[in-house]
Amino acid sequence: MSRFVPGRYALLVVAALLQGCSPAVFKKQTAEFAGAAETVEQTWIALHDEYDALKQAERDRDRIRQEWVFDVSPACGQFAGMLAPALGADLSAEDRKAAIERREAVVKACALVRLQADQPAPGVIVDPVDRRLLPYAKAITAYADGLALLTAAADEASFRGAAAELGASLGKAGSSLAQLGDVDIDVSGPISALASVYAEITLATFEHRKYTALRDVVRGSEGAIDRLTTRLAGLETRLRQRLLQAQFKALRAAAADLENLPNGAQRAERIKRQQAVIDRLAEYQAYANTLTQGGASYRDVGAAHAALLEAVNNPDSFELAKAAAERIKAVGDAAKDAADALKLDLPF
Amino acid sequence: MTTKKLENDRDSLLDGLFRAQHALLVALQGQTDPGKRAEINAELDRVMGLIDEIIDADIKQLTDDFIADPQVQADVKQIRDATKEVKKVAAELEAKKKDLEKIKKAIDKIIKPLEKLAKFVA
Repeated sequence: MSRFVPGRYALLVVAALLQGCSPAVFKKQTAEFAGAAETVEQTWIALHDEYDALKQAERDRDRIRQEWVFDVSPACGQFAGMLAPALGADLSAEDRKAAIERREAVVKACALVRLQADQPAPGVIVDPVDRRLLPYAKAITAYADGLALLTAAADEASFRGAAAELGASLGKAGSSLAQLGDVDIDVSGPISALASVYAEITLATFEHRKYTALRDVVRGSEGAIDRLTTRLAGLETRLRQRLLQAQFKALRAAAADLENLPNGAQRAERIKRQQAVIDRLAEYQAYANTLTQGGASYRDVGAAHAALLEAVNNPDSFELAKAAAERIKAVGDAAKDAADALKLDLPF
Repeated sequence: MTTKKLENDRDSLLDGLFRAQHALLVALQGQTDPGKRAEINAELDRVMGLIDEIIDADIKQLTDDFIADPQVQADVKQIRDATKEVKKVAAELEAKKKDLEKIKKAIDKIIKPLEKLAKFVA
């Protein structure tokens, strides 16, 4: 009894060709790129937040200084001027009461100004120059997320599982038909072959589409990613230098504060201020280290993308994948033949 | 002088200034002479001012150049288009998976009558 087994040999070839050309091969590089982009965006935002906080602290210090010069000092000067008559011995009871009330009013005014000076200035002023760059940083992160989404799309395991089930179902149908052996036709071979062909074609198309999309998009984006990340890296370095400078200013202020400590200062106060200097120095050195280590995390994003490009450009099976694509058509034709032979209306 | 050379020189200058201001701060801690302290403080202010000036100018210039550069706009468009493309392909593939499941259900419907027929024949 002759058995019609369409595309069986072609299938073996395709299966061999397809091994290794799945985008799953690039999952590691894609994940690394996405991870680097995500880290950088978070670092970028954290960097700006920290920068804003430091700038705000500088503004607060300036504000306090100004208020002490222009607000508190005149108020206290006025208080001093009012204090003398209030303490005069020849005041009537009414005048004395009024003087005390005025003095209390001035004391309250002084206290209020001091209190205001100690409060943070209302609202954080965002630096418009640096914030303008965030949409550019986010574009790269969104791109990386897209690549990760593509490589994870309809993951191979679940897809292969569904295809296997389909194959089993068709095989079962073939067995059922085989039980009709009395009618001289054994169609179990064609049906199971059809199931395999169908599963392989679907998988081949699926994986090939994923691979080509990933390869084309990564190739097409490399120039833009390289230019953007290089320029953003330059800006990031300057921003880090600005932070380093802010740390240095805080360090200098803490050191000056320690030096200006009155001779009779309590030991606890002295230790507290010394600790502030040590903390500031540690922060300064930490920032200085990030600069000497290169610091510019955008370079990592560029490097991760370049690695991904290299991977998609040089898969061991890249040429095989092209050959596989050509063979898919032949296998598809064989499948159609099988469907025709069995008179099954399958969507090939 | 090339732009790269200028950038390198500026980076070297900034690096030197950062080191100088740190050294001045350390020197200030060990100095008790009021006159010398005033001199160090004045120099420290000058160095800090230079650093601020260079960095602020750089950040502004780099940012302005970055945003105004048509190549940057083109690059960002390229990245955004690529993002749309990969998301589209991912969505297509998800849809194909659903199609496969639909086909499987349709075939299951074919199989049941065949099984009944097989039982009947047996």
